[in-house]
Formats: sequence, C-alpha cells, structure tokens
Amino acid sequence: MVRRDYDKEGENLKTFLMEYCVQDETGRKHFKYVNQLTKLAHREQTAMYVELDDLHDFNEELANELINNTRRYSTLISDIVFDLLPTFVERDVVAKDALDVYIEHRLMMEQRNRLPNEQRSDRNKFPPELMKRYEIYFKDLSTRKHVPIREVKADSLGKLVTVKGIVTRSTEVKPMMCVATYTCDQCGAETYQPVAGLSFMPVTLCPSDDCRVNKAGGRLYLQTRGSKFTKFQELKIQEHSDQVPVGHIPRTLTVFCRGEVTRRALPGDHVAVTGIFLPLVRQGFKQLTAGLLSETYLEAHKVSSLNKTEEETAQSSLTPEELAILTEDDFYSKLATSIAPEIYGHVDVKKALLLLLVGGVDKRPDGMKIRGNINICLMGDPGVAKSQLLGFIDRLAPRSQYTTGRGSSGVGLTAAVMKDPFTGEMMLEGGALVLADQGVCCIDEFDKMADQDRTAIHEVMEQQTISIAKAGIMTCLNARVSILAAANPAYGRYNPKRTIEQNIQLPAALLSRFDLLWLIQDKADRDNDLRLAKHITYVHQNCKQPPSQTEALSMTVMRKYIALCKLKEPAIPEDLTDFIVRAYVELRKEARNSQDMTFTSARNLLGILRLSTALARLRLSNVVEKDDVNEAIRLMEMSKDSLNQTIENRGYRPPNVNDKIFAIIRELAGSEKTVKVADILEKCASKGYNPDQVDACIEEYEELNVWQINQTRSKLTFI
Amino acid sequence: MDITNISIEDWIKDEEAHLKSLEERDVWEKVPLINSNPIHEFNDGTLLRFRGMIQDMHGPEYYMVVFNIINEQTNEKTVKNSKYRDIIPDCAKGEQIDMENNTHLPEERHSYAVVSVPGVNSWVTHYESVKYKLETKSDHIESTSNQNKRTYNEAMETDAPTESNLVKKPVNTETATPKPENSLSLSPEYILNHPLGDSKGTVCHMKVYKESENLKLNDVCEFVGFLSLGSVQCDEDDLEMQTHHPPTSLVPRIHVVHFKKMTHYNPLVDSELSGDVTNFVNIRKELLIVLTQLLLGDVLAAEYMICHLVSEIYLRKDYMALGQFSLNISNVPKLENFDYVKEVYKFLELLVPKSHYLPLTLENMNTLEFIPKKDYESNRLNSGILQLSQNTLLVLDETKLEEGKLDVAGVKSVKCLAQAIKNQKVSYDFNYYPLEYDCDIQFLIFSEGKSMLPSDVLLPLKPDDTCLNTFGEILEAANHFLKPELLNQIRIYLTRARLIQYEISDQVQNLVQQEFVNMRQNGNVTAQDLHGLLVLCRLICISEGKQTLDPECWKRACEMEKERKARIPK
Repeated sequence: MVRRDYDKEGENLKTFLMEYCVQDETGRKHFKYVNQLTKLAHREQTAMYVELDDLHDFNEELANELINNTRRYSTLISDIVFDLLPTFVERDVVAKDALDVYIEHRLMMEQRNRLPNEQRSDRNKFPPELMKRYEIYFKDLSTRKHVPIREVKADSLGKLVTVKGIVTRSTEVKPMMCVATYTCDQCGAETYQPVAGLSFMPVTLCPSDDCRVNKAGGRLYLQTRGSKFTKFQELKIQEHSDQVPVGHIPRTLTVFCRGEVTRRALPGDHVAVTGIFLPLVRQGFKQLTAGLLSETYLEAHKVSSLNKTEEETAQSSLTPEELAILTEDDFYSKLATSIAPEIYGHVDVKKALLLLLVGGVDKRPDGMKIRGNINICLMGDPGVAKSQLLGFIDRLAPRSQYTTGRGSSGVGLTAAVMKDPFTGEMMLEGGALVLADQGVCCIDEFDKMADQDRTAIHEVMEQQTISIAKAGIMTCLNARVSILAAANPAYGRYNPKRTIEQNIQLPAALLSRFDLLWLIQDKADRDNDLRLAKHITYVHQNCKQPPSQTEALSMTVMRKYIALCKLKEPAIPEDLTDFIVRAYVELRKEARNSQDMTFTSARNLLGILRLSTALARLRLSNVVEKDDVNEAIRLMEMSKDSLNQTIENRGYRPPNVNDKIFAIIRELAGSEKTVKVADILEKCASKGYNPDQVDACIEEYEELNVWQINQTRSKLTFI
Repeated sequence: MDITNISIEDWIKDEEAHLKSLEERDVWEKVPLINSNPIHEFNDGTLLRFRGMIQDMHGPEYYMVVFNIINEQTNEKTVKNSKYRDIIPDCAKGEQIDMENNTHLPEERHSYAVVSVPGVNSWVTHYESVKYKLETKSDHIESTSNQNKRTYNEAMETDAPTESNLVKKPVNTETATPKPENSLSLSPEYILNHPLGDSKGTVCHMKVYKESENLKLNDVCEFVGFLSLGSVQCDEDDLEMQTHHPPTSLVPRIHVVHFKKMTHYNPLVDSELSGDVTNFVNIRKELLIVLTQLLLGDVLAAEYMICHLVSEIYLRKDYMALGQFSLNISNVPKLENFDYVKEVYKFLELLVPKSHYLPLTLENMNTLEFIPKKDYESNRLNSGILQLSQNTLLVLDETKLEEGKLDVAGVKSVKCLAQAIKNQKVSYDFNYYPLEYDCDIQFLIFSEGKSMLPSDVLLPLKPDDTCLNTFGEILEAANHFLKPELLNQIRIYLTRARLIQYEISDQVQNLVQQEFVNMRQNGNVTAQDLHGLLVLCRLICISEGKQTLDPECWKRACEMEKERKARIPK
C-alpha cells in the first residue's frame, strides 16, 4: 500500500473547499463551501456538511480515499477549516454562549501579556479542539447503497458506511467532555487536556513553567465552565426484519452520535445512519482484560429517519433478476398464481385478489369521493380453502386486519368510545376497520355476523369513513380499506336455484357494495382432480413443487412489486369512455333478459373502472388501455358465471366455448344476415374470448354450413 | 497425542491434523462432556464437549488473531496468538501489549448462548452420565439433585480462589485482585434463561470462529472447544454487560474448534446409517400392545399415536409445512384415582428423548411466557416455552382447563400455540417487529371435547369399559412389560424410523391419483384430505420400516382415516 501524501491531499482539499461551486439556472456561481465557511466563521452554523458527491465530482480518487479512511480525512478537513476560518470573518462575531466569551477572554489575555515583537500566533497555546466551534460531517455518495448491518464486518473498519435499521435503544443526550480545562491552585495557570475516548484520566500536577521550576506542586482543579462539552448520545440500531436470514437473530450495531447528530431518532424509528465504523478503544484496566477484543461502534455523521412511505417505496431493492421475472409476458398470471401457491387452481379468484391488493385509483371530483379500493366477497362450500386465501392475503398485505364475523361486534370493527378509568375522559378506540386504514380488512364468516353489526360496514364500504356520534364525541374516522369477506352459504351448501341473497342471507345493499362476488365450489371433475392429485403426490414424493409449474414468487418480492404498483395513478383516456359505456349497457341488457341470479347496477360500472385502473397499475402504466377494461369485464363476467354456472351444469352438456361464441355472434347479428368479423372480435374480446377461439368457432360453424365467411375474412353471412 | 490434555498452543500449531483426528468417533467421544460433568472439575483451557441448543445469538466480536508484546526493559518484541482465548496469555512482568504498532487486522468470531437441550428426558441424561461421567472426583457423588445444588454453592464459594489459581501469571497485579462475587445481582435462573425454566439446565457461551453461518437458532449441536474461565470485569449497573459476561462459574465460555449438528438426540442410536429394520415390525407390535392398553383398549388411537411419535416435518414452503401431524386425542376420560394424561405422559417420556408436559391451566396460560421476547435492556432473547428444538414432543393437557378468565397474556398464549400448531412457526417478539422462526414440535393434545387449539388429526378416544375399571392394573402391567431391553429397542426404533429415506413409487402414485379421483366423485374430499392421507401413509410406512409406499399402506391409511372420521360427531 502506498502511503499517501497527506500534505498534498490537504492542499487538494483546501482547493476543493475554496473553489468548488455549482452553477444555478441563472448561470451564477454558487460557492457551496465558501458560504458554509463564512457562516461557520460567524458562528451562525455549527455543522459543516461535506457532500461526497461534490468531492467525487472534484476529484474521484480523493473521494474514494476518504471513504476508506474517513477518520483521517475528517481531522484533515477540520484542521484546514481551522486555518481558513479567520480569513472568512467579515464582521464582528457575536458570542453565542459562555464558552465563546471564555475563549474571547483568554485570547485577549494572551494578547495583553504578549510581547509586541513576539512572532507567535495567539491561538497556538490552546488546543485546537477547544477553539473549534464547528463540526465536520460527511454526506455519503448518493450512488452508494445501504449496507445491511450484517455485512458491516471487520473489513469495513475505518470506512464510511451507510446502514439502515430500526432504533431499539437510545440514551439520554448527555454532555461529553472534549476538552478539560484545569486551573492550578498555586500559580493560577490554565491547563488543557483534549479528551478523545469515552473516559479520561484527570491531570493532577500542574505542568506550567512556574510550578515546575519552583517545584510548587500545584494541584489542578477541573473547571467546568472553561471545559468544552459536546452533546453525546448512544443509539442501538437493529436490522430490519427483511434483512435477517432465516433462523437468525437480528444483529445490532452501536451508534455514537455527537453534537449536531444527536436527538435525531427515538426508539422505534426507522433510520439510515451514515458513519465511520470504528473499534472502541478502551482505557486502563479494561484495555488489559479485554485487550484482545475490540468492541465496535459507528461514529455517526448523518442520522436521518425514514418515514413509512420511504420505507415502502422499495423499487431500488427489487433486484434486477426479480425485475426481469416481473417484466416477463405472463407476469400477471404469474403474480396471481403466487398468491397462496399451496392452493391449487382458482386462478381467476387469485387474479381478483391480486387486484384487491393493488387497488384502483381514488377519485375526488368536486368533493365527491369515489373509492378506489376493491371489495371482494368469497362464498363457497365449507372446506374450499376460503380461509386459507384470506389468511394468505392477511399475511401478504403490508397493512391488514383479520377478524371473524362471529367474534366481532360492530363496535369491534368500527370504533368504540371508552371512558378512561383514570381521567374519566372519553376517548376513541379504533376497531379493526380503522386499524386497517389504507390496507385490507379480512373478515371471515361474514354471514355469521349479527345484522346490526353488519350495518356498520355499509358506510365503510362505499364512503370509506366511519362516522361516530356517541356520548360527547362526534367525529368521522378514515377507513380507507379494501374488504375481503368470506361467507358460507346459509344451508351448508350453495343452492343454485336460489338467489344469492337467499343463499348467503345478506341484504342486497351490502352485496352490491362488493365489486366482485366469487362462488368457489368444490365440484368433482375427473380431469381437474387427477391434475390436483398428481400435483399433491408429486409434492410429497419429491419434497418440492413440480418443475413444470411456474416458480411461485416469494412474499417479499410480491410486497415490493405491489408497493411499486401503488405509486401509479392511472387515468382513463377519453376515447375509452364510449367503449366502457357500451360494455355497461350490454351488461344491463343481459341482466334484464336472462334468468340472472345476480344483479347489475351502476355500482358495477364503477367496479369495472376500479378493476381496470388496478390492472393498469399492475402494468406500471399511467394510462388505462382497452385490454385492461376487457380483462376487468372478463373478471366481472367470470365472477357472475361462478354464481350462475351451477344451473347450466344441470343440462346434459355444458356449453363449450364455441357454443358461447356462436351465441354472441347470433345475438350480434340480430335480424341482419351479415356481420362484420371486426365487430365480432371486439365483442368477443369484451366477453373474454381471444381471437383464436373466435376463429376456431367461425371455422367450425362454417363446416356445419351455418354461415359463410368471405375471402378476406372480414364478413360473415348466415345461410 | 492425548486429546483431553491438549493445550491451546499445541492445537494452534497443527490445527488441521488435530481436527482430522477429532473426526474419528473414539477421539471425539473421549473429549469430556460438560453435560454430565460439573464445570468446576475442569481447568481453564481444557478441551471440552457440550451438547446444546442455540438459544440466542449475540453479535460478532472482533479479536486480534496475533498481537505484539513489547518487553519494556529489553524492548524485545514477541508475537503471540490470541485465538481461542479471552484474556491475554501469560505476560511476564514488564511486558506490555503493543497497541500502537498493531498492523494485524482484527478478525470476526461469533458468540452464541447455548443451553442444554430443553425437554431432554431423564433416561437420556442418565445414559449420558453413565457413559461420559468422569471417574476422577466421583468419590463424593451424592444424589443428583444434591449434586446440582452443590455445584452452584461450591462454585460461588470457591470461584475467587480458583480464578487466581488458574490465571497463573496475571498480566499485572491488578488482575489478581479477585472480583467480589457478590456483585452479582442477577439470579442464576435469569442468567440461565432456559426455555422450560429448568433450573438443572446448563448454559454455555460459545465463541465460534468458523462456519458460523451454518448455525441457526434452536439448532441442536455438539460443540468441542477450549474452556475459558477468566472473568471479565463489568460495570455493575450495566445490565447488558452483566448478562453478556456472566460469571464463568455459572456460564462457562467455550472457544469452539469444531461443531457438529445433531440430527437426533438419542444416545442409543450411534450412527445414522446402521439401518437394521428387520425387527421393526416386531417392535412395532410390542409398542402397539402397550399403547393400546394405555389408551384404554383403543387400537386405532394407538396406531395414530405411533405415527405421531415418528412424525416430523420434511418439507417447508412459505406457510406449508408438510409432515406435521399434531394429534388431538379428545374424549379423554376422567378417572377417579388417576390423573390419566399424566400417567400416559410418564410412559411417553420413557420412549422419546425429548418431551415436555404442559397442563393448560388458566394460570399457566396467563402467567407462562410462551414466545421468546427480545429484551433490549440486557440485549438478549428471553426464552419462552415454544423455543424448543426439533422433534420435541410437547404434550398439552387440556383436561386441566377450567372455566375462568383468560387475560390478555393468556389470549396471546393461546394464539401463539394455535399458530405454532397450524404452521409450525413461532413469531418471536422483537418489540418493534415480530420475526418468524420455523419450529418442528410434535404437539399432542389431550382434551375432553374437541380442543380449542387446532390440530391436524382429531381423534375421539373410544375407551373400553373394562380398561377404564382396571387402569391401575394396566399401568402396573405396562411397567412390567416394558423391560429395559425392550424399552431400549423401542427407543432406537422410534429414532431410526424417522431417519428412513422414504419415497413413493410411480405405480403407487398412479393408484393414489386414481383413488383420489374416485373419492372426489363419491363425496366431499378436499385437497387437504389428500395431503393428510399422504402424510399418514408415509408415517405408517416408515413406522413399519418400509422405504417405499405400497398399496397396503395406502389402504390402511384410507381405512384408518375412514374409521377416525366416523368417530367425529357431526
């Protein structure tokens, strides 16, 4: 290793401080550090921040050296500033505190005592630590990443590192001596002792010339007023839960904060700390016993608390590999299948749940509030893994509450007014829905809930607020939650001949507030069952998931991606409105004509909008596209089908895809003899059929001589 | 070279060769075991062995591998090694560590709190002490309980002198002044921090120098390392220092040279591959007879019990833990003269290496700590009952539950238990966030009705009237029947069955798939049921010593499940 020439480095740093400037928009040069120095000189600022980004611009090598040996450079810069400061004094400095006055006095005394022709700087005698009324702090390069606490190892000793963690302990801010001042009881001379470590050995014998020559044996007394203290605080930070490897205990790191960096964090705060990782030098007896062992600490240069939102915008923490997976073509179904991977099938339900996690966009036109959160109700026979799905969503969502209908009262869900036993004051205590604000509230056994308790949910599900008017307290609490409910049919099994209201015994007012209602049924189906059985036996035999299946994404990746999606605020472009309106009118018409057990209302239109914005979010796009709307309508249809299909299955042959498409085309044609293929494709797309299926259908029926298709495949003619 | 008397210097000189010789079983076994010998019989710097569970992980420590010593008079410089030590080795008078010109970089070592494995049954400890107890000071052995008490007292009294004896040449005169032992304000129980509050347990602090990333919380390992008795001066008011540097008479420090993970804690099973499974069927039959009698003539329950005893988790993915087989035996009778569950437990205790009996009384639920909690004052993980090592049998006795009020802590305890049973995960309380740790505890719940806790298998007991009346005789007969040889055979059988490599052949796989499809056609069978059936198949197979699933096992499993389900009241 080449020993560095610190004098030269000092020169470099000096030029940096004096000459570094940035140009603002008007083209004026802005001398960042000169400005800071001027302020320091006038005691208007105590902390001087050196941004390594700037230094990196100025001299890359120097910045890297600084990161590797920060302590050394810190003193270097501090000394340079000490030399520079007097040149920056433009006007008289107002004394800020006792120590300023004290220093001023001493300097004046010195000046008076000094011989006029003596060539000596008046500040030489005092230790620079006492005279320095500023602190040097470094700001880490913005390109450098946070290091996990676990990775801060012996090789980082002496280097500048930035770590993230949660504060678990913080001591009181205490004054810590950095320069001890003594006076001699014999000669009155003052002695100074700079203190570097955590403890110091007081000087007792006066070292002044007077006492030494006379052997007076003057004793020294510590003078609190003349000593310099800095604020000192010790923090303990602990790793975040996502940085802890499986089966390990979170690591902690001691952080020493001095001066301006104290009082920046409280226990429980999430913080990012930039500092120098140093071994703790023990003194005296401890050094001997623990000499072989060095404790370490982080000398803080910057402590910034991260708020929750910062925590969640975790795009940078998505690794490129993870992003690559997420940007693959079928990421939508991949994400969906990653929800509760241990539950086989039910892809559409999972897709819906995925959209619930992402959520649509809230809108507030003219004070009216249209919720963006998606509510879903899962119904089904006992033992179809509804609760498992709920449990998974509860674990996956960053904020969620899980309750069961039977165990919750309306008060338990919304909010309760309590009387404080000590003060007698009224206070509000939030229930599950309030606690899940901006998250998901999973309610299992929704049907078992008492009616009066259920009404409390009505307001939440549409207005997203909870109004309280109870003894002396009138208020409105936010409850921007997505509700995921699970319900069992009223008579044990779902009876397809009855309406949903009859089946679940929930009022239509409540049911219509759910954007999607899914009926999960557990029907015996040879092919499906065989696949399921194969899947399970494979898992048991090989102790892993079958390889052909797409690897399920881990929960952390899902969480990161969903957090990323939530940042987007997609809007619906003008030209799509017609399309959506037509689709809605279609739905209404259909609902009127068919023997539908569900109902279609204006809420469904909003539902489609919500689902399509959620889909756009999922694509990380700011614009809703036609495909999003189609997919939203498809999900809506599928959820309806899940409720209605049970009747159709009573027939001998369940209608296959071709039959369904034929029916659509038939309807489209009406009394006309010809239909445009383009119209058919569009119509079918909105019903969730892809062009291939449509083509197959057209061909099949052409063979049956039902219709003919022209040469250019643009027109169908019924025969 | 005699491994029991090796010094640290000798070890470091030829580390590789010594490690190699340790690989041999005989040499390994020769290293004295702390679990069955009191710590005060050993000198500072002896090579020792300890079997325990990792209870807590302290942070990394940085130490100087080598350092320079300057003799103040002669200015001579010597280089010394400080690996595997706490305090500076023999420093002659006038010698000082050269702190200024230290060019050696510090290295990392990791510190762990390791407790003797919670729930180890007395037959295991007895066997261990017979095998590993050193003869040297055996002349004054009294009864074991007395012995243990003496250990502490003796240690407390004699600590100061031993310390000065051991540190032969102290660095300077100051070290020789013994630290007054009564500055210890923490109770031994607090320092011990044993999951089950077992006051007889031992705890050691391990300093691991390599491969520490392989160690996980709650792993059961066997460590070999050098004992260090030098005490570290600590501030009396600093709780953290005190808990991290307890007196070595209570918590010996061991500098680990090598460790092995233990796949089981059965001292009767030596190597894992001595797979003689021929007599499995016979032993199983004998065991079935005993269990049938104990379970009041209920053969089905006995079958399930055997399966339960050999169950373990063999696959984990997110929240799915395949192989868990928590058993809830409901409809447990109340006998007049006997505490039925306790009597049954007495037998189970004889069969498995690690078990714990926990009566679910209101008081227990409300007062006991179930989940480990991080204490930031002392910077350690305070243990809880659910911090158990792999394959520990936890018997929950719900028949002891009475009507009453569960307070907040009690409700939390029930929740934790339920979560642990359902997912085999325990979320430890780190105050600012919970952190989940996988566990593999066999939960066996006895209850009168269906338990309030979840379970994988609910089995209502069908007691035979004659058995109910003659339970006293049954107990006697069972005691008589379980002769030491048979008992040992059963113990070996239960451990070895678990180590069998199991697989499903393609043929049987097809059969299972077809059967499942048929079952679906006939009635309400879910995917969960198939999971359950396959787990049961596996357990039946390995309990019979078979490596592959055959159609009979599948049929047996189906029949057992059918019979069991028929018993559950609709």
